[in-house]
Amino acid sequence: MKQAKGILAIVLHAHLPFVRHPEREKTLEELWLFEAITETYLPLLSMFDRLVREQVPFKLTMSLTPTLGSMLQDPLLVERYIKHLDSLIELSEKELVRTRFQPEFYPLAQMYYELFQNSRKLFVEQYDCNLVKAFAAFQEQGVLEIIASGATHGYLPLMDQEQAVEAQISVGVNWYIKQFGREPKGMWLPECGYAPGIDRYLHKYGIQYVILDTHGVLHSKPKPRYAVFAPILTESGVAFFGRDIESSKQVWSSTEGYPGDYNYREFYRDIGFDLDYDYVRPYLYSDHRGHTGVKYYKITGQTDHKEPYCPNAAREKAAEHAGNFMFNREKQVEYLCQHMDREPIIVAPYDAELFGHWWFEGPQWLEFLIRKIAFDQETIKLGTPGEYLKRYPVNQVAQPSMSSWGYNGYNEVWLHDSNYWIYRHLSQMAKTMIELANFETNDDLIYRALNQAVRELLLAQSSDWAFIMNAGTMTEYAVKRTCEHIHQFWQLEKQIRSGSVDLDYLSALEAKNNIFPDLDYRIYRQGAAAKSLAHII
Amino acid sequence: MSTLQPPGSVPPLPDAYSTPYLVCLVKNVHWVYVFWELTEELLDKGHQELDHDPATRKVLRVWKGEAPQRSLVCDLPLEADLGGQYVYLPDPGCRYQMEIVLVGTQRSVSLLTSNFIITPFGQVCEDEDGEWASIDELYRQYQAVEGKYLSSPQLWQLSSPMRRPPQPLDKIDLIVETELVIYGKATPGAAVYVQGEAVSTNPDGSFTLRYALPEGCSIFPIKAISKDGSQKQTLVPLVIKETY
Repeated sequence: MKQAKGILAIVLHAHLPFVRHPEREKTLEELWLFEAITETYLPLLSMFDRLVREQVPFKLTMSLTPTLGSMLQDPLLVERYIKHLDSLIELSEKELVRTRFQPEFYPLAQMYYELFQNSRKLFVEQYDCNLVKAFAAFQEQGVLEIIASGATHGYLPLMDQEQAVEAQISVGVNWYIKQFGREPKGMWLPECGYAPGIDRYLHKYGIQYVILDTHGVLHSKPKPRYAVFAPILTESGVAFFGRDIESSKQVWSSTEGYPGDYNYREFYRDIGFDLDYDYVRPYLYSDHRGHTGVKYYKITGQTDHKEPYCPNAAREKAAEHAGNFMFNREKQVEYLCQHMDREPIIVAPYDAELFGHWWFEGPQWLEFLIRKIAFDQETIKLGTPGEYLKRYPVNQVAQPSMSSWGYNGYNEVWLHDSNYWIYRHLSQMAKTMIELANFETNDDLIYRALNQAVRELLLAQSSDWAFIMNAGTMTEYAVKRTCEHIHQFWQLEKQIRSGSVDLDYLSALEAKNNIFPDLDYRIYRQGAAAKSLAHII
Repeated sequence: MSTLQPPGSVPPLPDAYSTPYLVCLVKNVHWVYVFWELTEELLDKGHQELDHDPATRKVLRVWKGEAPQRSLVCDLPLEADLGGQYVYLPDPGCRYQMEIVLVGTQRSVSLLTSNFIITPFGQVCEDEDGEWASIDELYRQYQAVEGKYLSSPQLWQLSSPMRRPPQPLDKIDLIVETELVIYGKATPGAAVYVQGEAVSTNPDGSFTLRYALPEGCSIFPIKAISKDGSQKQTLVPLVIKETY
């Protein structure tokens, strides 16, 4: 077999904000998690299983954020997810009856029935209700390189307190070590958000590499020799890989990308919007119409008229698109290696939830791509940034540019007319937490309150809230979450300083915002060797 | 910009923190967001140092670089003791710091200084590394977009589960669907078949079925068979759907 000329590093970033709501039976926000499990994480795991079983060589990189991982392992959410699947199975059984005389829809109803039944079987029987462990198993088998991420996906470039940056990184790394039993090689910077100086903390916690948007590397000083087709190193010793534009556009672009193909399933035509309200009401997560996950139409075109979805045609299209993607990467690598004195690496990061949830055929496309790369050509091979660094440990030293993968490439998504107001509060909370971190106490309640204050701060820092405020989708929810965490932080601070903690209040917060149960507030101490606290977390 | 509270905030947030601060956050290549709080105590101290000069004014002073080699970019008038604003910075890729200064007739007093920020460079650097000189051919694909943002403007809209759904078009639209509900009751324990397929019944023998009704004539033979198989009965509803 010929030696491949270049490496394709596909990176899947799996993330959801912490949206656990024990106080309510059904919430739209928890539905995000359930949809992602059914439509993205289970299909990906299933695909990995098939590939391993059939000995198809592959290597992917994946980030699994602590907020998502914590929810995936939360007993309440696991129980609710199984109930959710049971209700989908019930709905799909009804759909099988309802569409009996509609030959264009009946096979689709069957498809969903099988999908939901299979999802339940996979989740409960095969993966024992623990998807984090399931992903970890593939890392142990050497086909997946799982990287860490920030504790609550906080947007680091807009944290004016260095200790706040360090805490997001240290808590994220320590969560990773606890879950996967090893130190992470790489880290997914939330929103690929980088500002000069952040790399010092990445290095402190043993992070070997991160990924930036294209211009983060391209605009580095001095000019990078290999553009984004090899990493650069900062003086602190962290490697920075840059996103490849061509491979990103082919998948991500809302106008030119594969997911917009007319044969693919239309996301917004869901029976939750189309059918009689009383019929779908038991399966909705609010009093308004919403998504059930049962969708019968294809994109069809730039038109309101939608044709019935045809899975076979969509599958063929996914295969065609995978072939096209691979062909383009081959041409790209052939061009690059004429001019490079080492193998080029093409870094292609995507939100994991694109595959299956937004783009229903995404997992099929990915599987076709992996198989085609393995068996239909010899120019490119799949690899990971970690492996590339092992192979090429000597790299150019340069200072990457501040950047993000948000709109316009810098910080303006998260610093905008809709969300600027949060930063005054986050800044003061972080400053105060640094102060509180110097407390020493033998009082168990004070100790618990200090830890909970850190949790409230970390949760307030989630970049998701500012993003949602900017996007204008579920603004009320994002504002409410931010305000709640800010308010709860200050309530705890008052109680800590007065030496009188309200046990009921504290217990209620601990029960609701129960992420990082072994967190120790002292991570906010300046110069704290947080890594040495790994045995605590 | 004086709004300190988010719209419809629940629960209430502090209006002020009674502690002085000046913070600068980078928005993009040329813009930063600065927010501050000046306490009475700090202002009193400043005025005292200026001998309560009545002509004193507050300014937001923008510095480029770091002392002792810094240069003044501009002074912006400051009215509110608690607020925030966006500031334009002319030179990308530079280090800046903000300062709030009380400017008197004869001299000035510094009240607060902010954190240092470095604005992004915003373009490919011309400086080449002596040992790692860049390869021009690898930059060809970026030359067409030089000066523009290289991160795709559309990508972010797909990067979150919270994207906006398509907005309804401003025109009259009418969609009508029809469904048929068949419901009935047999002796408890009897097996019920519709078009030859068994349907589930409730403990009291009742059943409900819901079908999307196609155009044309639909026939629904419904058969009930007693538990011991000795008794049978069939009823056949016939439904015609026509759309005009």
